Amino acid sequence: MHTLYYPKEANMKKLVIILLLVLLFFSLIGRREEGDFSKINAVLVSKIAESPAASEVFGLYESGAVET
Amino acid sequence: MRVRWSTGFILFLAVIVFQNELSYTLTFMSAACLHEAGHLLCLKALNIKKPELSLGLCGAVIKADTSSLSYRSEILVFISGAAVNLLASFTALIVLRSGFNTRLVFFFFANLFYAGLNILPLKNFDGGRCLECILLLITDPFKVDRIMNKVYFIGSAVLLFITVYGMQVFGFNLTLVLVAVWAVFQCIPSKPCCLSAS
Repeated sequence: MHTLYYPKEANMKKLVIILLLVLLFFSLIGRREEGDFSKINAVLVSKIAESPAASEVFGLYESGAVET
Repeated sequence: MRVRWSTGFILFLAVIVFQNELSYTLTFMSAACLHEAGHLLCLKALNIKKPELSLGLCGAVIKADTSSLSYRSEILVFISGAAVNLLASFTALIVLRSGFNTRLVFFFFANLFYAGLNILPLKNFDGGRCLECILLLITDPFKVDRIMNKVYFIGSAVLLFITVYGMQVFGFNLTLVLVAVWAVFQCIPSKPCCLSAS
């Protein structure tokens, strides 16, 4: 005869997964307007604009984003 | 192909998504996907069957039975991920030259970051494994082991320096703190277990 049972560890794992999925859901809903990646990107773009050589490599002059 | 994921991966994803806009997160994830796709395509080309993709707290790891491969073929597998990232960066640069776009700049640097990080000579990293295979082609395994222990120590120090320097340049934020913690975690010696890390 087979006995169905759920070990405590399995239930805990399920609970942790559900909690993390809820956290992920709220993270998606309440995401920031300006996050870490965009701040990092802003620094990178400003460093490119500061350097004439980098501006040339990235085509900033051609696009008109930086005035020559 | 079998895909496994852990609760750590959801936690990692939740923190990254919470700290960043979705478009930037997706751009960063696309660089990671391109990296792993490079490895998987190379394994497929070398006729390696049933690779397993594990998604965990420290990123994605591919597990495959590469015992039939020569050292030269293994080197090819290890560099394929970074090669795809470099190709993506180069393509982004060509597109940037025809029309500047700040999001594309992020894609360029995300791919460059992924390629650069993975070719660092660290334990469980593509660079470390690649260097190990190159050394095994020219010298005996015991000597390689001694050399690699020293290389891993120096590589870990370089990674920590890059992380701390990056935090100073870009400002202290949670994403970079996570990267720093992860860098420290990578410095802890562990058993070699898989094909590719991060």
